[in-house]
Amino acid sequence: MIKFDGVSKTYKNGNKALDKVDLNIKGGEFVFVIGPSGAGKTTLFKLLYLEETPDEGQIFFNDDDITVLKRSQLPKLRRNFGVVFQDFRLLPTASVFENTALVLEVLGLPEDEIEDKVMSALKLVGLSGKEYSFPWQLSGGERQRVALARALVGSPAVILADEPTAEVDPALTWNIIEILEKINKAGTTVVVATHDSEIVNSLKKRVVKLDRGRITHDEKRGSYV
Amino acid sequence: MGVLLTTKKEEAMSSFLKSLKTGAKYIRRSRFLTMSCVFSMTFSLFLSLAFVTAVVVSHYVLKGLEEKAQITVFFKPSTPENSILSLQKELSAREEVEKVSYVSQEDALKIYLGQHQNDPTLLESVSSNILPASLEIKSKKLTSLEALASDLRKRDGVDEVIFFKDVVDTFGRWALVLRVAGLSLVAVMLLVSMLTVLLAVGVSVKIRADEIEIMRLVGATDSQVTTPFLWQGALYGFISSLVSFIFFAVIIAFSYPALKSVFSSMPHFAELNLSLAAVGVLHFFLGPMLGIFSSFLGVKKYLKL
Repeated sequence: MIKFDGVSKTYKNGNKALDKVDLNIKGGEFVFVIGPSGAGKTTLFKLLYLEETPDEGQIFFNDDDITVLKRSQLPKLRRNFGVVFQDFRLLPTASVFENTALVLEVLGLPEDEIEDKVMSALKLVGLSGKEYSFPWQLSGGERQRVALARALVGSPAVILADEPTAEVDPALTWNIIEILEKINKAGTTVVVATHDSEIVNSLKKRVVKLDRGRITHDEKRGSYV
Repeated sequence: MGVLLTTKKEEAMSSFLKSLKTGAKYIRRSRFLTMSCVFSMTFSLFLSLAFVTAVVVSHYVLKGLEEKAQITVFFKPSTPENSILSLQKELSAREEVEKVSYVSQEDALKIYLGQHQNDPTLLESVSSNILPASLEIKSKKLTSLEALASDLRKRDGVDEVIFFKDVVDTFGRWALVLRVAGLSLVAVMLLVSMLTVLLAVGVSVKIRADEIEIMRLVGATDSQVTTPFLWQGALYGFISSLVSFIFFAVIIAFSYPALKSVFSSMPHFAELNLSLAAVGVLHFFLGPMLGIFSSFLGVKKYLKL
């Protein structure tokens, strides 16, 4: 489903984020991407939904080389991904409902369907009753869950979660992981970038370790190394 | 490339109302920007409407004057009627002459009596003998009047030749000045409106930079991002058109009796009314079109499309 073939990315400041990365993720997999800060985890995600473009190599999604896509084809690609951004990227002037509904509005769904799906997603992440709160009225953990709700509300083929448990307490951390596991069991591919060794070690899922832009470890039922 | 290659034009169509709602939301959420933009556009559109109206009115007044333009040849009382009629026949045959009417001394008296029926003093002292017979010559072209007049002055029996060229020329010059100055001012005003909307949309885009980026990251197309801004411009234009039209209509309504007494005797009064109605309709389209066009330029510039 997702294939990185000799992908390298160097930023303008000279920082080499990825260096000839080869990676293959099958549909329906649950993958943890681990590694120290600056290892290239976020860049790996950004290259997938083409917020960044690689300097060399090819990236395939469903056998299509996405590095050659035109600007007009990006929306179609991005609709396949539900992304939990590391910095949440919530609209400060939009309510929890509006932030979550954004993805569905982009998909052009009718309003009643949007309402049903948003309410279900907010219930799933434990934010029922907070629909009309604004991001600045929420805690860090609640904002993170809004970001998660927005990522999964459109039932995308792939969930990319960049540090989805960074700002939540242990109880909620497990709640979020359970949600991601549940979605994964329903057939969605889930890729989670995390520093949380406890989660990685408990779940025994595939673990890919990045270090200074290179994959140094890739284990099918791995643990935090 | 499979499904990735297809673009969803139909989605843009189905999100028509959503874009309109979002555009209206952009306007609501930046009230001061909206107020300054609408105020500036309203002022510009009002002045444009006033000047275009003045240009249209002057056009029809000039047209009327040109059509009225004629030479009146007064004959000495001793001139025999058959000489006058023979001149009438000769003039009627000339290419530049459209129509020649003979006004006998008796006809002149009837006209005089009709014009002064409320003034018995003037009526008592007049008989047909003191009023000259005349020929009223209507020319096809205003420019041919002068040559015709100078030719007629040389004819036997002609006492005086009067023609309106000077009046028409003077009015024509003023009408031209009004047209050039008015349309230049209109162009400047519309440019000011365009720049105002362009800047307003630019500010909106800057304010919503994060929102636009997030929308794109979750899969919004360019049209989903830009259409609300086009609506924003269109709504600015529509509100400005409406307000400026209402102001103008109120002014016209108050001054209508005076205007009617001046212009209703014009030969093209009905045509003038029709043209002014067309100006009004165009005015309603001008605002939104101007708004959309300016927004389009703003979006193109600030969203780097």
